[in-house]
Amino acid sequence: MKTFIREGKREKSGFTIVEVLAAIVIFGIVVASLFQMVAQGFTLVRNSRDINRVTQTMQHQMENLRSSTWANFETQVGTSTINVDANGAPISGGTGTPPFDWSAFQMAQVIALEKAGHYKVTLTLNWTDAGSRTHTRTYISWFTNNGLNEFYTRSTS
Amino acid sequence: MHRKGQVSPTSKKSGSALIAAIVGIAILTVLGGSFLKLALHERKMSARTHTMNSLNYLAEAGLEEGIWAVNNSDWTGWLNLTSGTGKNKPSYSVDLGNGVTANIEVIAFNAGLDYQIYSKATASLWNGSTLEKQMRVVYNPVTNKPGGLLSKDMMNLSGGPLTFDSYDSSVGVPDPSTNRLDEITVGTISSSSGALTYGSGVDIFGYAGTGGPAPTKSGTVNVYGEGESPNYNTDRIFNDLTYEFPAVEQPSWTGANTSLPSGSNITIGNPASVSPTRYDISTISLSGSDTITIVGPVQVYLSDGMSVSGDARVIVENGGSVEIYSPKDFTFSGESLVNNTTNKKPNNLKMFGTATTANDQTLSISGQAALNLVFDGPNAKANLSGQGYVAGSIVANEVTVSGQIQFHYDVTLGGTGSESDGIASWHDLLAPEHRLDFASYTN
Repeated sequence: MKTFIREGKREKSGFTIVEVLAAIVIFGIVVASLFQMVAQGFTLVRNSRDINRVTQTMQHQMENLRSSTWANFETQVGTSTINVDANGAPISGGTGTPPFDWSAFQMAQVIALEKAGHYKVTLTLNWTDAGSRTHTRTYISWFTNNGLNEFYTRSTS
Repeated sequence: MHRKGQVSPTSKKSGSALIAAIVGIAILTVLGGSFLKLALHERKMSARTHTMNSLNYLAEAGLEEGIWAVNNSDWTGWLNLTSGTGKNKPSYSVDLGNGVTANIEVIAFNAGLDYQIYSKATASLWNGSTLEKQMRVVYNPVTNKPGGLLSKDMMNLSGGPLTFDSYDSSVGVPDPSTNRLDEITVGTISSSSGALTYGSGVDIFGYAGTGGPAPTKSGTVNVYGEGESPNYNTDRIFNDLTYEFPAVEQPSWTGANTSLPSGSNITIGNPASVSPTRYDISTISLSGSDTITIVGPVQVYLSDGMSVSGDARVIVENGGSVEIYSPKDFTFSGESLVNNTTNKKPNNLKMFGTATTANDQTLSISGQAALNLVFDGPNAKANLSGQGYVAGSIVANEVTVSGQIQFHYDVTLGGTGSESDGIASWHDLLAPEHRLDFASYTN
């Protein structure tokens, strides 16, 4: 009977302390990796949201320029800073409103004369994400007198 | 046996816990991995959308380059096409930052008096794939000329009511309450005495003019503008009307079709083609309920003129356009409808009188014929009578209008005759079959 009891105990105590520690370490590594994975995922989602926001903001401003009459467009020649409001729409001033700090999304607009009636428009938007990484996006186009603006304004007037 | 029997179940329990833990970790790993993959995909899609928008504006930039070159006749940096008539601005790169470099290439086809400008913007993505955006505009060089009904020699307007006004075809068809403008010019450049005569019932919501003498007026004539009651406003009457009346050349084509498809109800043109389908034939004569439908770009030369009568139709579908050249008569009568059913854009139906001797051909519109057209015949005689309807513009050597004609000048033409102004159409070329193979036209 004793022999049977010993054999039974030997089977019951299957893991040594080393095995348990190893298991804890492996489990810890796996869980930590999972946390890292999820954190990385959230960072990516946040970056996606920022890029979408930036895309819409820059598109908004480019379309503003495109749908201007030529006379209005030429009043904006030069370098200027475009702020955006809480909805991401470009405005002439403002510092941003929670929940999003739009003040971090200031946009530089450069309209440069290249030749008579021919301008290059560059929109550049810099921002810093939650991980303190800086990002830049640029839109470039050309605008000419009696060109696409004229079609826009003629169609909508 | 009993004690041994107690040990065995415990051992099985430990094994289950381990398996459960492993399965749990596996599930968490799969969930975490899926979330990461989805997030990564979303991030890539955001970047792709942003790049695609960038290409949209770069393709527009290419169009602007072409338009600027056309308007300024400055083709510096452009090359002749290796196939077709026109110019190519070879691919040039634009740095968008972030390691993204885009390329723009432009082709401007010279299609008679119009230009078809194609622009292509491309950029490579992180995965090696290439994004592409193509656009096309049909563009008429900008000129500064009066627009409406214009003659080189005498113009006589009688009968009534004769109404002349203008409208914007990009808004819709002429409408007295929603689409009526005061920008038409009715007149002659002639400086001869009695060059422009008009009688009672003539109503011009726009401008009238001659090359010198005051118009000869009998009865009640109105020349007025927006915000005015009908009156004879001499501020709206020019005495310095000018226009060059450039000669219209008779086309010379090789390989043109020598006959139209047979039948009384035919369709011509290829909507998928950039180049026009050409016909070099003697005449087009439509009567009864004959119909010609135009579905793509078409050019026609008629050595012996054109007539449309009865209930016959010339239908220009959206996407279709036609230029008709002839040194002989253009006659429209009965209740015929010419480009007055589907498209109704005058710029899509142009008729050119190529006669070289003054009054050697006639544009005749009578009965209740209705036309949306641009007619340019610097040596033609234009006779408009009956209760006809014309939307577009007419240039001729002599003009006689009587009866109860309605004439609506389309301001989108931007000038008189064929040399209209600006962008006639603007398309994003989304479907692969609508895009241009640039390599076919360039080195």
